[in-house]
Amino acid sequence: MNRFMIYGVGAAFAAMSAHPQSPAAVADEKNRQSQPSSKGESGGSQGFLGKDLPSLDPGSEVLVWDGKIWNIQDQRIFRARFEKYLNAEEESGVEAKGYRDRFKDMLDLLSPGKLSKENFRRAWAILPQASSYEPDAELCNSLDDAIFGVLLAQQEVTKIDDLNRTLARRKDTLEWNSRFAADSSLLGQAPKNPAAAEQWNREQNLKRDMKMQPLLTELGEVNASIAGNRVKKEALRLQAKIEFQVLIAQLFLQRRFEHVLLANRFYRALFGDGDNQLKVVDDYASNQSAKNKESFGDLAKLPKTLGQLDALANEAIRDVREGVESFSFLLEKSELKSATERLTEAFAVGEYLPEIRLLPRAKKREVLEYARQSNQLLSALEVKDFERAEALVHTLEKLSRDFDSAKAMSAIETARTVSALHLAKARAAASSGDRTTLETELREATEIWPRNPALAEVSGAIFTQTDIQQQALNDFDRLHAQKNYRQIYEDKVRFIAATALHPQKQEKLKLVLDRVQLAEAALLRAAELAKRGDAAGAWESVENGFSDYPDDPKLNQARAEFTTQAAEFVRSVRTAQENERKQQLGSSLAWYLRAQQDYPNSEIAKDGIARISSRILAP
Amino acid sequence: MSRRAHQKTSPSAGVWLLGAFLVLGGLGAFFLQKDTNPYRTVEPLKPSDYLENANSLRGNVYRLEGMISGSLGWSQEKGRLFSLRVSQGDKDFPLPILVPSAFREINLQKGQRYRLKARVNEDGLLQIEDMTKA
Repeated sequence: MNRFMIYGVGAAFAAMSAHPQSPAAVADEKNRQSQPSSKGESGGSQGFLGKDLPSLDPGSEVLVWDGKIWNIQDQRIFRARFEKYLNAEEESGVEAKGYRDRFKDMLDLLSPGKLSKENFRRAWAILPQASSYEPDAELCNSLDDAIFGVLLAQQEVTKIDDLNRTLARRKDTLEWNSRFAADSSLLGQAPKNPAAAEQWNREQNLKRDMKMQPLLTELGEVNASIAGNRVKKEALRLQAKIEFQVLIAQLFLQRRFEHVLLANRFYRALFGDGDNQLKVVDDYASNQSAKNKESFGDLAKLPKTLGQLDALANEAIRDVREGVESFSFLLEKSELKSATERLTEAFAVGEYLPEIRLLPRAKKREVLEYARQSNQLLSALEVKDFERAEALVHTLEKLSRDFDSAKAMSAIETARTVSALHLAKARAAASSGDRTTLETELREATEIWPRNPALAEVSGAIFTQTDIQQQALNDFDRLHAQKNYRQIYEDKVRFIAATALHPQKQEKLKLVLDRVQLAEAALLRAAELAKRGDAAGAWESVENGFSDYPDDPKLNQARAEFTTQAAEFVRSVRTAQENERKQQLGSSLAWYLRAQQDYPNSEIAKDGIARISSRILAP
Repeated sequence: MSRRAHQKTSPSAGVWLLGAFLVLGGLGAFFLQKDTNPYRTVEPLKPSDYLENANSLRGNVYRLEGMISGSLGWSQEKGRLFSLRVSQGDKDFPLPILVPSAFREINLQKGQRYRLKARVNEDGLLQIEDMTKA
């Protein structure tokens, strides 16, 4: 693909070749590749340029060139080049006009009806003048050099012809001398004696051979030289043809179609033998290396004749002309989208043709804004900035009445929907504590729509929520380890929410809350009893709660307070319990009885009495 | 009235009557006391000491008097367990007493007062050895 750059083709096509195709273009290419070659495109029957001519499918905006496919609108450098063209002034100056006039003159002088040596020389003389025009890129100079090279080769051929003529004359002389030598060798009379006659004959033959030997040797050398010169002459002619043909092919690849036409006419004038076959195919294609193919394209795919190349160039020029006419018409109808597309297609194929170069800037400027916005839309879609893309779609709808927003909006809406779907999954994963899925879904949502405003919002909320949840879980673990159940109870709403998806922690929390709730109930009951002046009852209530949760500071505080208020009762109960622990059943029972005497409703005393009595009466 | 007011009694006869009254009163009190507390020779139990450390009193026999304040339980082998309210000073102390099965014929009821002779058993419990209504 680097051949474009080697040939000095415009940066647009270099970019096209350097950048991958759009997915749509690739798909198209695959489809084409997978299709059976019903049209005989494979192998040698396929044209040098894939489909012979750079063709553009306006539906998909795909340009087919040399068997490769590009979406022209997807190429950033091409778009930039096109914008530059839209801003450029039309080439209608004196210099440009002179250039085009010279081109016409040369084509006219070399036309089949007018071709003569004089006209050829006049046309050739114009080439250096045409080359002075900067946009020509010195291509006329290259053509001039090629013509000069051919003429030098032809001079060499003439010299060889002269030499061969001299050699032919020498050959005639040698042949005559040889014949004379052969004829004069048996002059004179032979002896009559048979033996002497035989001897005489041998001597005569020897003399003849001696005379003819140098003549025959020289004759052989002359014949060899003549044959060698003929081969050399043919080789020179072929070499000159091939060099010129390569130049024409190069010009075609550069989309310099006018130069192709001009070079073709020069070729016909230079090689008037009627042989228009592209020798480069026959002579070089079979020996072309892979690297050479990489640079120059597969020569085996070249058209078979220069006539074909000429016709293709003419067809390209006509196609561009029609494209520009179509552009002008659509522009009049204010259908900017179609107008821009037609101009884009024409520009891609015939960037250097007069129809493109002479287009007035005023007309081009009319589609410039549309093209810019379109390019920005494509860029926005490329970088997945769908919010901006949507705004651009609305702007384009206002700019051009034939702008089809369906494709762009479909892409935007699809991206939005899929992104929202991933965000919803991310939210769900965050709620269930599934960090792996959360990260995966967020990544997916980010890849689909990196600048989605909801992304930052949702991810922020998720991470905040996750942080809060994690912090709450950490706090719960810490407080549980500290047995600070009261603090857990005070902040139970936060912990209930945080442990909702952690069954083990949830179970631990439930036990903690049950325990503290019992303590709370005991404290409430104690407060009620204390209000009624039942200090012993209040103490007993607190004491019951205390046995379940001895570390609760509230219970401890209340216990200490009621112990003071019901000192006698508390003393009785504690002494009873102490004696019970020491297995002093009599004393323990006595103290429980005393405690019951102090506070008849005491459950502790009642239970203690029942417990000790059972033990005493047990068999 | 005046004749009755001027009647004269012998002073020695008064002294004799007073002496006889005192003697009879003393004897009556002696015999009366002898009949109502048959365990007067037994060491009385101080409830506070019992509450303080009943185990230290194990094996000792004490007499005590109090009112049955409640039944705490019953066992075929061990007998009946009661709460006995015993007074010491101005305080009442409920003490547990175990009435062995041997006394099953005695119908003990709440509110009844009894004099008791009891031994502090191995469990530090007052186990009745004898009892009588007060």
